[in-house]
Amino acid sequence: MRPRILIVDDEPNARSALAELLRDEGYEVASVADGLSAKSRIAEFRPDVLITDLHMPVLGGLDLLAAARAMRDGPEVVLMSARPQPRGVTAPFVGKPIDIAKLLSIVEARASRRG
Amino acid sequence: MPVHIVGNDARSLVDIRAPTAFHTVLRVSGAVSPERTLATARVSCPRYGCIDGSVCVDCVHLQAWRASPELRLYCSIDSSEPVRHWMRVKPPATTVDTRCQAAEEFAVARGVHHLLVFDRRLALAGVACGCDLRRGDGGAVSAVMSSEVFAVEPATPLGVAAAALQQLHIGCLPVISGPLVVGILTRRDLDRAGIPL
Repeated sequence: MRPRILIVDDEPNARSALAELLRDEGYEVASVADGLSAKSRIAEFRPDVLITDLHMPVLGGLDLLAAARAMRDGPEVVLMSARPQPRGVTAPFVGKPIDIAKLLSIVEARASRRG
Repeated sequence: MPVHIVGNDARSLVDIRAPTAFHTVLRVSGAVSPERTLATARVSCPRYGCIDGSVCVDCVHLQAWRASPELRLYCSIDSSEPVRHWMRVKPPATTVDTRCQAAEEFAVARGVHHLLVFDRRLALAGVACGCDLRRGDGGAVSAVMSSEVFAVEPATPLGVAAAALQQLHIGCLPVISGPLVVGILTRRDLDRAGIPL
């Protein structure tokens, strides 16, 4: 079964483009506009991988990363940003605009860790 | 004949109250170079035509890209985008005195369906489409053109322009900046931008 992916990005254009390209690849995709909505959506959608923007107004990507890691059987988290990768962050990172090949290899690797 | 400026702000003479709202994702193709990087690729941009991928790297519309199995870019457009990004500059035009047959041949040669029509003072006097010109036979363009002209400004959002084309049942909008005609926006241009009409 293909991994389920939740996209979190406050920029609607980026969110819809990423959702469409991942659907093109055959993934089941849901998307929300901020970290707070993502926390509740995780419980319903039960994603294998969560792809989140780093900088969002309500609840940022790093806060969401911490929340996901605190969850029992929480999703694997991939961070993305148009800014450089922050130092010391242990989650995988992709820059914007997104190189799809890089993103997909990360998604598949993270999803396989969950079995 | 006055030109009616359409929009959804106080300066507009024709108020478009329900702009078309959309987020469109364009799947753009191109050709990769042996380096397989975006910067060295050639991209078939729906806005600028064939361009270097290095232009795309900093483009606000580009959201994601892939080099294989074929080059594919995912570019987003939304209804707040200004008309000036998608209008065609130097729109093909004719004059009120031109014979319809000559004007139609000119339109066909330029590959367009609409011609802007100017009067003897070089003021915008109307719009003529291919269908108008075909029924004009040997007469002048002034006899068949639509003399009620609706226009937009360069900063008008695409969503407003799209709604105007639908609500006014017209095929094109001249783009006007002060006294100057600076471009034209047609249904074909909206189609290039992936906007559903």
